Amino acid sequence: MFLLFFIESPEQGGADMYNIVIGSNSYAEMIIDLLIEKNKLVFAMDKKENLQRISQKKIVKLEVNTDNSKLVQSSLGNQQVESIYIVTDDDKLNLMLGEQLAEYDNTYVFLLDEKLTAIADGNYKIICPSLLIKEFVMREIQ
Amino acid sequence: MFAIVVGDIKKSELVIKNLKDKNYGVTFIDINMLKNITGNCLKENRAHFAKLFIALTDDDHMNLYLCKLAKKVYNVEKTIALANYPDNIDLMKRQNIDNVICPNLFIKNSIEEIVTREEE
Repeated sequence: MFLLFFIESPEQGGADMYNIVIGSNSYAEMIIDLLIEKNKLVFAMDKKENLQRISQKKIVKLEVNTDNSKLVQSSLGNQQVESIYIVTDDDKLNLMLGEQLAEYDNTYVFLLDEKLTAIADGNYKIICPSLLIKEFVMREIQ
Repeated sequence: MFAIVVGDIKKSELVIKNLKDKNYGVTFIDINMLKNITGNCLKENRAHFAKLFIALTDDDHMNLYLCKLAKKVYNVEKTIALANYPDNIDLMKRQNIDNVICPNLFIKNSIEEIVTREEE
């Protein structure tokens, strides 16, 4: 009987974990939709003018000047972060934000230009469409 | 000695003149003429011969990227980046940029000094 007092209910134990998507392009929208489908809590972060491009209603939108890396980090505050997807239109900005947010587990940085992967050295995972396509084609050829 | 300066001419003019006075050979890459600066651009401008690389664009992420590229790919000895946001200084320093300069911080300190002096 005592054991019952020590077993946490899912609501108590699983504090709300947030998934952060930085950027407002079509890839960001796709990631947001996938996360929503999986019933995840999503925070979308970007500059005000860019955020208006996101049509998804079931998310929290946070206006942040993404050029200021520290401001982006402090906007996350004390939230429990499950994953961070950095998907702005600018690869160089994605790299900079990735370096700043590398301390979080499951930080993904989107890079359109494959060459930029050469100077990416933070503790984050890179999503590069051209590399994915290359991998796919190589796999299919074999 | 050879230096590369990237930025707009207004910000870079004085720096270029100063470097030339110190007998540096200087290549200037105008960010307004070349919106998308890539690794190839640095290669074309002989970055591998440069002793000094200075990034003075309006975008901190561009300055960070260019300095990292200069350091990691072209082994430039000294890199200097402009930080338009003081908040980005720490991150840039952590990325092995040798010197990070922030005009906003200079302005703030100067004004603070003037105000303090006047109060005394």
